[in-house]
Amino acid sequence: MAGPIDLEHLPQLLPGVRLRYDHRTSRYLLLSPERGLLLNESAAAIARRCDGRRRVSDIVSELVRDGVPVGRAEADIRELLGQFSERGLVRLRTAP
Amino acid sequence: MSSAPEVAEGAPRPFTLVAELTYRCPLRCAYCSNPVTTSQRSTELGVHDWQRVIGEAEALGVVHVHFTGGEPLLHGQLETLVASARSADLYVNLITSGVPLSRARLASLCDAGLEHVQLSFQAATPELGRHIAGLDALEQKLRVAGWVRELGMALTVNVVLHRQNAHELPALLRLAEGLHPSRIEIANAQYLGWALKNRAGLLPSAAQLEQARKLVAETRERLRGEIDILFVLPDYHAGRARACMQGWAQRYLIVTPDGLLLPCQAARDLADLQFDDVRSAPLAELWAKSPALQRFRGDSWLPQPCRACDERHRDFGGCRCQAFQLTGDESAADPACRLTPAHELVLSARRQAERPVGVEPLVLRGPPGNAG
Repeated sequence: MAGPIDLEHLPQLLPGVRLRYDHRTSRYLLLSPERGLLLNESAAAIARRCDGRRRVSDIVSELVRDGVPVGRAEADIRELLGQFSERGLVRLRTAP
Repeated sequence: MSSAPEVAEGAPRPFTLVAELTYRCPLRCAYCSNPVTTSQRSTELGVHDWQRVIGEAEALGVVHVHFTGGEPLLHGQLETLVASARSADLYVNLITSGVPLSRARLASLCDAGLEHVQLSFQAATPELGRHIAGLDALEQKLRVAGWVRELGMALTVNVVLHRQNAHELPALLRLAEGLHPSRIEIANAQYLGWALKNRAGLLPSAAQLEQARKLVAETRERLRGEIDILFVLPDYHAGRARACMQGWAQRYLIVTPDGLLLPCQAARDLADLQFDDVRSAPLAELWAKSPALQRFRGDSWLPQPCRACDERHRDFGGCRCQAFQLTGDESAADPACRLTPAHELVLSARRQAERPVGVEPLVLRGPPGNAG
């Protein structure tokens, strides 16, 4: 069971999960076995940063630097990581 | 993608190319989805044909390719095709028995761009594996599953469920869980093709199915967030039609070893339709205009009672192959639906399944023709 999202978590897309730009819709698809999720711009900005090196708090800072209001950035990340983790697309580790 | 070909107005966007590289297979599963009659219509596709199909499919909007068969590992140039698909930025899946595979070959497929392996398990015991597939390959499959994970690819464990292995489901789920896959698919056999020949020996009783459904639901809840578990009912027990292939010629392109463009893997057994050869025209043109694909595309062809039913937007009229195989008419309503006139055919098969469960003879899939 994935627990709640922590600011110290290091989210990482699982093996076999990757982003692909979709020229037809001008959006990003998150591809995984048998599935493709069409992401909106803010979801893609978060998914792109789930590399296992950035902490959730780092991602929040980067989004804020790109002009997303602080409260919204954190709420967006929590919601999206919750959904990704429920669907088995992302792993939420904490630093060793 | 910059030079996307012209697609006829309204032709839907396909997302998945199912590339059946060969009908040959070391297993002879009694429910094989390959056609029952595999008489070859022309020579098999060469590597350049496949590469063209892959590139043109991507240009049509496809993002997933499934290399399957038969056993796709028996195709000598699978590595080349995997590399071509990956360089077209397709998500590359391999659907395999895992039987003719070494770690070195899997590593070279991984290097070529393979991302996901779907590995089939027929049974949790050697005897039952031999009974269902003519061969026990359990130990080999367990090794392959380990290699897939070591190499960092996604793994799906696939089990086709039916009357004769349902009692092994608890063991199969334990075994699958121990392999730490991303996904487990417990898919009931659908009674088309070889499985229809073996329907009496394969169709589960209602009690077997209920037990399986319950066990899968409990396991899914326990593993939520770790392993994604899928359970597919047999159409015969669903009471309604399945959205077969998400609609005829809507989302999936299937290409056979000898080059036919099909809307689903079983459609070749439909007697009255002439499917086109991918070598005869650009893929975009066939996808948009092939008369066999246009025949059941959309909902203007729907018979009653589907035509007036709200479910048509969800099930698209169900499975054409099932309608044909049960009623002899591929444009009939899918008898899986309880609202259709031929539903009694399904109910009577279900009544016959309500007898004591035990080992019963199965007709194993015969050798393919020379179609690959």
